Amino acid sequence: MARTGGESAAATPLAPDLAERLARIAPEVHEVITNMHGEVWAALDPELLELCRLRIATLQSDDEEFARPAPGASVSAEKLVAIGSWPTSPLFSDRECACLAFTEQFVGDVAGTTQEDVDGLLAHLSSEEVQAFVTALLALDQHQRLALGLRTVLASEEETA
Amino acid sequence: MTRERRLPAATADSKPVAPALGAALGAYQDAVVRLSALDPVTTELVRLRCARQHQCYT
Repeated sequence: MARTGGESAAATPLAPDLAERLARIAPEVHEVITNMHGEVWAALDPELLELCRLRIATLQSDDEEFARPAPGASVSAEKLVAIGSWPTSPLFSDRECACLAFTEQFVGDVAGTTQEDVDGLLAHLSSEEVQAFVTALLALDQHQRLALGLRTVLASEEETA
Repeated sequence: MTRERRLPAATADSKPVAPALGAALGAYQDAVVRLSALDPVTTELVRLRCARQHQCYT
């Protein structure tokens, strides 16, 4: 993973390979998903969402997503390195830990999400903020699954075309 | 099936935090469902499967 944290390079809402593939195979979706990911970072604290985006990338072993310039807000190099050990690291606030815990449940088994998981968020976020957070999380999770899926399915076809 | 509210009910003072994101998500989902590469029945099956997986009953 090439990221060192605190980068200021220009970033786009979508991963570049996903943007290119969608523009080619589903241009009508490319426009609306780009707009949606522009809105994600205005929904809630962008650093909080960036931590969740990075955690999703590590859970899905998506090194490309982890390494690309932060589309919303950067996090410190120290947090970047410690993202996988957030439950025991002193670098993460209780609010960040609650959101990262929910993120792990959401990515690993969204159907198994419990009221206790939701209550963990409500201890730090208002009801309206929880709605915004989960909507943003859905968008971030879908983005990475879609990028990985298309990369896996289409890459070999594109090489031989 | 019992469907219990996960979040407190909205009050008269409640204001959505990110209405633009909710609208953008709706526009994205609409565009996906309108895609023509997959037949409508299979598209609907996928949509329903996703809804069940996400416990979305709306």
